[in-house]
Amino acid sequence: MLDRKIALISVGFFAAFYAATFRYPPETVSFPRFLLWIFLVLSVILFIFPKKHPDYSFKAILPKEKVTAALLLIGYTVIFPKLGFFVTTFCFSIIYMWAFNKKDLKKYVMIAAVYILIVYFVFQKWLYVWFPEGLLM
Amino acid sequence: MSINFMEALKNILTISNILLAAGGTFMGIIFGALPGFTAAMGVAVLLPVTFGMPPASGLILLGALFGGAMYGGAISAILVNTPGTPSAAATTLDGHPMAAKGEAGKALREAVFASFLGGIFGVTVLLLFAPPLARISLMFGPPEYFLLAIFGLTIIASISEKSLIKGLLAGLLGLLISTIGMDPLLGTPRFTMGVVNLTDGVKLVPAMIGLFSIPETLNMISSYFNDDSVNLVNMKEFRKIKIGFPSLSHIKRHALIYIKSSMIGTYVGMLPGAGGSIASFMAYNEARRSSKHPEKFGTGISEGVAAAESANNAMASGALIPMLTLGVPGDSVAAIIMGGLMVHGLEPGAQLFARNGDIAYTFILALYLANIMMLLCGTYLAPYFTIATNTPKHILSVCVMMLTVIGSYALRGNIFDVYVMITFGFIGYILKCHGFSVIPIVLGIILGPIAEKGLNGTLLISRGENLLLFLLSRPISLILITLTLVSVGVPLYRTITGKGKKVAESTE
Repeated sequence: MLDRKIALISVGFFAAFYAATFRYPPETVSFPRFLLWIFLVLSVILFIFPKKHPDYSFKAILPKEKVTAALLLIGYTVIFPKLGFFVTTFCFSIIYMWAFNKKDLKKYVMIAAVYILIVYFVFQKWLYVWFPEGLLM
Repeated sequence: MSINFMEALKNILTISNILLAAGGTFMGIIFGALPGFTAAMGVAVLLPVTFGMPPASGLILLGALFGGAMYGGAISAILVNTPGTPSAAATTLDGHPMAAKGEAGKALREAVFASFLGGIFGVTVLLLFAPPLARISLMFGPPEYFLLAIFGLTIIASISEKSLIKGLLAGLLGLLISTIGMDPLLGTPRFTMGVVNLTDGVKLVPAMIGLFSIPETLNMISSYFNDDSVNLVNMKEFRKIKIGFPSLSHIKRHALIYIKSSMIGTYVGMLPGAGGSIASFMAYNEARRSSKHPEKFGTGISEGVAAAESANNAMASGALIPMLTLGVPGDSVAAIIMGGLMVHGLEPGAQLFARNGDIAYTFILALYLANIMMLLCGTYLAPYFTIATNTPKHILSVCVMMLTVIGSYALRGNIFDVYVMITFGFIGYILKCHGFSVIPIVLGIILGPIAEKGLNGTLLISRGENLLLFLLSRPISLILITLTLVSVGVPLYRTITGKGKKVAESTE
């Protein structure tokens, strides 16, 4: 049952977190330990009184399109500090839109360009937020 | 107070701040009108825009966004039968049937006018009650702050979730996350896993942006493949809709509904975690219960729209009362606005009114201004906001995703905050899929330091006395303990006996 699995994971989380508290002086971890014991009690209650989730499926939680979106986002955040914010953001937005609908490439280029311009003027020129320049820009 | 009030009036009546309020309301209505976008997400992704502004201007923008989003949900609820925000779910019950009967203009007029009155009522309560309530918080010592934090968490976990246990677990997870970083007693870094950037703790703003935005953005992509065509609207048809202002006799006829629903909304807003959907359904049910023709509710009558909309807009201001006075946000958006206050170095609670009274009053007055802007935008432009619902979801999703990255980065110019945002976003998504709410996590992160400082302080001043007896000997502590026990006990009793009504509507 799903709730029982969640409860077991929570107990594992409790054990790992509690073990970590031994690395610090006791007075600095008294509050986290207090919280962890309540966490354990609640996990046990969840294990004993689970609720039914008839429509649960792992595939529904991570369908292909969501995994693609997540991977693209991770790739973008890893690359933009190295290559530069504006070039990476421009390319990422086009690739992202293209990945989900391969119809209007021209429209995507326009949208990405306008978006970059707005971000540039609002954040860099108006609010003085500086973005990483990286290798390109 | 009067000096601060006059200063606030001066602040608000500048061209730039009026424009900010107008722009914020406009953006808020667009966010609200877009199904899949929540008010919390809108405020979270635009929060970083306020970092470079003076605190008063930033708060004006956030307040206007919040007010606009609460109303915006009604537009798509009425015109396309899809509530833009969960708070507008009750509006669809009568709003869409009215539109189907050819009374879309009437329904939109009712929605904007009721939202306006509800909003004004809520802000007035906020203006009248927040300063004295803030003064009460001066009577709080460490034990009271510790118990207040615990009460805030238990009530949000018990009211807003389908499962009390999961709500409490999520709250505890938030509290545990708040313990990462420097310990307040000795200054020792805890649970940082050797990551220098975590010595300062997990930054609230990127965590909030991730938790509120990434799950919605991922869901948006899914809905693009599953039901995108459902929301396509015919603009030619909608352009013909005339809205205008309601007549005096109409206002008189509905006066009782406006007042009652606004009172319900404000009250529900003050309860941490209850949220707009609960407020609007409660007001809707009350209007139906006290009506002479309850059987007509749900068939397309303006009373239903009036009740739901007055309540959810009054709730918006009600939710700000505990946040501004005690530092305990009433709902997810109030939590984000609180994050905004903290970024600007402002501390919610009594100190906010004592030290930064001009900013506190500017914020409250900005909410009045936002309501006026909302009335004007809603009356003259409402059908045009539905254009936004025609934007393909994959385009909206990439725009929001980039804003979340930019926003997290803009906080300190540190890429680590972007990684925090993404990590919390994915954690939030997985937890939501498994029946957890992200609001208690955010509350936990906010209330964690208050609770820990309060507990440490209590242990110090109790001088080895029995902690429970010490807490019970203090009147305010006793009240807070009773409230905490009731907030956990009642839903637990209902769950065990099966008497509880399902509060399935999430407040997010």
